[in-house]
Amino acid sequence: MFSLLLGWLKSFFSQVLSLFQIGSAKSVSSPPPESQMLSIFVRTNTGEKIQVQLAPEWTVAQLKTHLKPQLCSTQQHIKLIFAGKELPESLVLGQCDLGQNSVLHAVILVTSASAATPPTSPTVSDITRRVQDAAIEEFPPANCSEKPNLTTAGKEYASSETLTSDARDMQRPTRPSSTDTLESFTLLDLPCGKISGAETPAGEDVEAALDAAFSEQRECQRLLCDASTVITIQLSQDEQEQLRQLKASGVPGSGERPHFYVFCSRPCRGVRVGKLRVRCNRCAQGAVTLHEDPTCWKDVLTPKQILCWCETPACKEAVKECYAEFYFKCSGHVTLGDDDVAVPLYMIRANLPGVVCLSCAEVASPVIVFECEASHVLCLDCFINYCLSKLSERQFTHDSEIGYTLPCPVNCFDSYIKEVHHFRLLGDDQYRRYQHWATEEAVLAAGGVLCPRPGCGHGLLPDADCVRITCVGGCGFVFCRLCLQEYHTGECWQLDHGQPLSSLPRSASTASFNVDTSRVGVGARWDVASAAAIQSLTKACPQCRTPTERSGGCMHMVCTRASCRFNWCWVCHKEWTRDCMAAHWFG
Amino acid sequence: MSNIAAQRIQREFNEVIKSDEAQKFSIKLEMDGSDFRHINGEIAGPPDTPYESGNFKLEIKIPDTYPFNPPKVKFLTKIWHPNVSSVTGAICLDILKDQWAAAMTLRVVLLSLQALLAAAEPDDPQDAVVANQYKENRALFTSTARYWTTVHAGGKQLNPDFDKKIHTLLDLGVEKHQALVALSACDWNLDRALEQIFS
Repeated sequence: MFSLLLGWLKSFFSQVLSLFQIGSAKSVSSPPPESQMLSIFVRTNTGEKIQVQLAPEWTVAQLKTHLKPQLCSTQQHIKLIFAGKELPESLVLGQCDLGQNSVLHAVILVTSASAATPPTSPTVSDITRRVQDAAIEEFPPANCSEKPNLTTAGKEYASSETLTSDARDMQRPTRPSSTDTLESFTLLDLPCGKISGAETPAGEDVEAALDAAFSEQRECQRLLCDASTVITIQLSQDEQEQLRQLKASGVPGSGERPHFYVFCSRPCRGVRVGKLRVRCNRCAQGAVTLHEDPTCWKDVLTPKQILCWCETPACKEAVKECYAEFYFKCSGHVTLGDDDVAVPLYMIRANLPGVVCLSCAEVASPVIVFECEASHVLCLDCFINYCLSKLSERQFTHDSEIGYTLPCPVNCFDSYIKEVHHFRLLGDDQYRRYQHWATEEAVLAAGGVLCPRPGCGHGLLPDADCVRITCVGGCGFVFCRLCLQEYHTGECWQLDHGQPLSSLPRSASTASFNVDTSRVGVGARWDVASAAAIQSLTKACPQCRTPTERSGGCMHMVCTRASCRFNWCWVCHKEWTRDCMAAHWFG
Repeated sequence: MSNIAAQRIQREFNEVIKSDEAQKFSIKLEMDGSDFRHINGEIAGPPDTPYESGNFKLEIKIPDTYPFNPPKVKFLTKIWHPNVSSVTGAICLDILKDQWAAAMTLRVVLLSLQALLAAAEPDDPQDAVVANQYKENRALFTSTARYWTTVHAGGKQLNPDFDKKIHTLLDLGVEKHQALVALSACDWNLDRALEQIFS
């Protein structure tokens, strides 16, 4: 017993001593600058999470050597998984899009050898020694001082206690070891030359990425952060081909590297470069390897498109197949945790072919590419301008599936912006305005009315034949559905050329004013004078009764309300006909 | 005016100035001072049309939301054409209304208007009087349009017969343009024109 205690003390001292050695070695030569060091987390399939400091120029093999002593015995293999891919040994970590606080997933594989001979419980001192050994093995003596600071933030191993429980947990096979061994071999045998070899994604040439995208359509040979992945997802085959021809003909393009773009609502509040990540759709853990690479936006944005292997014990044991769930992180800030995800703005791309903006004719990057056949392009500034000009005129369209949106500026068929988060580019204030009107249009499209009282505008969904409407849940104003004045009995005040309003055809969706005079301003008074001014200056659209002013031009009116667009004659106050053209087109 | 609109107009200006059409004096753009909002355009009447040898001035107003909204264009030079108001110069051309696209430019607008002069569209929106004449008495329409070109747009082709009729009305104290409009609308029938003016 005493000797055992002595042994422990001894190992404790040796550990303290070795710590000092590391410390003194560090202080002698200058360590790499803090900014170059990456602090990442490694999460194991047993739920362990440890913090590791590493330099971006390390290879995966180097990192593994450093992790091993903390995670398992030397006989065992570690598989490192990041963004849906097992990282090949020779890959330089700087190439795989790791950021501060990124999480790498480590899976401990049990080889047949280690399964046969149960490992002994290593002590902290063992680990320290092994780390030292490994460091010396991996680094030439001159660089010895630059070896990583292997602090394990997740666990404290300060005392000389054995790591029995932890170590055993890590080593416990989650599947029959034979399968594991087989599996690990298949995975390790993947031809990973492309990812690891000469290609360096960070400085990767667009041409090389194009070639890679072309040659590896659906093979798991590239990382999700590779330029070729971005190109495969963002560009159709035709577009890739066009781009390749452009490059071949010597057009320089914008010289950009392809990226994903996201809207980061917090903390960056703007468009940022996005990082594509993947997790299991059952357990939401990132320790997954993809069966195949995503090749289009549908693969990424629509759930359950691509299968994956999940290494989480619960998922591994379940027979069910796991699907990959793709998501994006903002690269503009250090990640705030697993929940820190960002919306992909998939219409935004790097302007690889150097297309000029439709509006300002400048070549900018990134740009918005519309989903019309012609793939019309706007730079981000012009896109904001376009949206603002349409928003101010309330010319967005309410689409029953997409919501309140816009087509491409050339008004191509089927070019509506389907991801309305793109309107986040307008800034917080304008986006709020957008949301407000989107809600109003949705209420109107559903057959509802908006309370006409200034400053209220509460959305109401009364019965279709109900004329007397009370603003329930809003200001309590009781009004007439037909004329939107205070409720009255008898005919409404005649607005339209002596024609009683109630005689006009009425349907649920056309039963109210759209351009709400109530929103002219909260301070504006809903008085007789303004009603009279509106009456004298405007005529109501015969279909939706939007008060319309004719500021010039011919008598052919098109309703300004985006959801109406009725063609009518200013003179006849009816639908525009050829007779109107012939008789009084210009008055 | 937004920067984008100003920048864009500057570009389009240069595009027009450097274009082949401008070299041949067939289209022209001029600016009042440095205000990009008000531009004066000019198009030459296309050859083999009644508008040949005439130069037609246009008023082009650029909205702040350009190029997402079309420019407002009207003829300053009086013109006799089924698709242009003989009174106000207003044009109802689809690309200046709902068919406008942000990809279009001032050059496209000028060339489209020129094309409109070469090929009127009487089956589309039109000035009723001019369109009727166009459809029912094409020869008279052509000579009227040519006469208007000579009177207002610097055309070279004279018409002594029409001159005489105008002078008859001028002698009666009728203002010149009023006389021209009345005679044109009444198919150069002096009696009907007189009736229209003095009724």
